[in-house]
Amino acid sequence: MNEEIIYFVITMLVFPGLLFTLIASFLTQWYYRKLYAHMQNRVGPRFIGPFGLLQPIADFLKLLFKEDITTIVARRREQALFLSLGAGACIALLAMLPFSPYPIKASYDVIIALYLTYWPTIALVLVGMMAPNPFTIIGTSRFLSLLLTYEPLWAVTLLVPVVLVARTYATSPIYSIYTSSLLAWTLWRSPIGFLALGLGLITSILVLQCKLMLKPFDIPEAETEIVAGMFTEYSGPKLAYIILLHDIEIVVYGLLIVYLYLGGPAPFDLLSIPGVLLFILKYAIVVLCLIMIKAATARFRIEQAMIVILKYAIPMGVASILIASLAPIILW
Amino acid sequence: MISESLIALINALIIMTIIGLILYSTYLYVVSRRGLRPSGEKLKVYACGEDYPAEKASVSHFNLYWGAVRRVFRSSYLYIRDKMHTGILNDWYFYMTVMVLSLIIILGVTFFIR
Repeated sequence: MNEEIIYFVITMLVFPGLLFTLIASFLTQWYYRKLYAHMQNRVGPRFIGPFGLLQPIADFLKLLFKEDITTIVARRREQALFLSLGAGACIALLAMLPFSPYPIKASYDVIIALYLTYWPTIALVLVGMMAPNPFTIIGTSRFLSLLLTYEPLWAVTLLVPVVLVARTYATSPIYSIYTSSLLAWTLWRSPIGFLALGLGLITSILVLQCKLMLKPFDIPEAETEIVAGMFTEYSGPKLAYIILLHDIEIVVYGLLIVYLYLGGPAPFDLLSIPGVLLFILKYAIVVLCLIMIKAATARFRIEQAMIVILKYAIPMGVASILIASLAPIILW
Repeated sequence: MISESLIALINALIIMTIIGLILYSTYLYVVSRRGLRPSGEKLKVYACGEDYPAEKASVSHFNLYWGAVRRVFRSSYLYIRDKMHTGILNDWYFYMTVMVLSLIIILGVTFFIR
C-alpha cells in the first residue's frame, strides 16, 4: 500500500507528472520555435543557454514576475484557477499512458481520457469569457464555433485505436487507453487496421492543428485582425500560464498520438536506449508535422475553416471509426 | 469493473486537482510577492484607443453559445425553423413523438448490438 502511494506521488509530481511535463513543454517550445524560425529564414532562440535551449524558461519567468493587470470588468482569481486546472487535467492524462510508473487504467477509461482532454479547451473558453472586451468576445465566439465542429472529431480520433484493439484482441481492460497504447501499432500490418489507423492519424493531425489553434486555424486569436482575440486582455503571469497550457497541450496530445497510433517506443522496450530514441523521434515527427502545416499555410476565415473540417476531416474521421467498428465483421 | 473505473476516475481527478492547486498557489504566491497594484488606464477595457464603457463589454452567455450554434449549423437551423415553426400544437406533438421514438430505437439498437 505504501509502495503504491509512493509510486502515485512520483507519477503525479515527477514522471510523467509536473516536473517532466514542465521540462518537456519548455523543450517542445524551443523545438517548434527553432523549426518555425528556420522555415521562415530566421535563426530562432539562440542566446540563453546552449543553442538557446533555456529561452522558453527565461520567457516564462519574465512573464511570471511581471505586473498582473486585470481590467475592472474581469475576474482576477478564477482565470488563473481554470488555467491551472486545465494544465492539471493534461498531466492526469499523461498518467494514463503505459510509460507511467503508476498507470491509471480501467475498462472504458477512454471516457475519462475524453473528459480530461476537454478540460483545457473549456478552461480556454472560460478564460476568454472572464475578461470581457470586444476582441475577446469575438475570439471566444469564434473558438466556440470551431469547437462545435472539431471536438466530436477529436473524440473519434481517440476512439479509433481503442475500438480497433477492443474489437480485434480479447484483452483486459477493454476500451482502455493503456491497452490500446500497447497493442494498436500491431494492427498497422493488417489492411483494415492500416486503413482505419491511417485515416485516423491524418484526421488527428488536422484536428490537433485546430485544437491547438495553430495556423491555418488560429482564427480565435487572429493577430493583427482582432488584436490577440481571446487573449487580448492578458499579460504577465496569466499570459505565462496561457502559453504554458498551450505547450503542455502540445506535449500531451502529441504523446497521446505517438502512443495510440504509432506505438510509443515499439517495437523496442521504453527502458532501452533504442526505445527512448525511437520514442523521441516519433514525437519530434508529430510536432514537425504540426509546425510544417503552420508554416506553410495562411489563416482561414471562420467559414473556410469549418468547410475544411466538414468536407475533409469529418468524412475521414467517420470512415475510420466505421472501419474500426466493423473490423471483426470485415475480417471474418 | 465499475469500482475499477471509479478508482481510475478518482485517481485522475486527484492528480488534476493537486497539480491545479500547486500551479494556482504558485500564481497567488507570485502575485502577492510583487505587491504591485495596477491602477488608472491599465484597468480600463482595451479597445484600440476608443472609449469603451464597461457595461458594453460583456455579452450574454446565452447569445455567445447560441450564436456559435447558428453559425456552424446555419442552413440546418434555418431549414428546421421554417419547417417546424408552424405554430400548430399537433405538429409539435408529432415532432416530439418522432424524437422520443428515435431515441428509443437508438437505445434499443445499441443495447442489442452490445
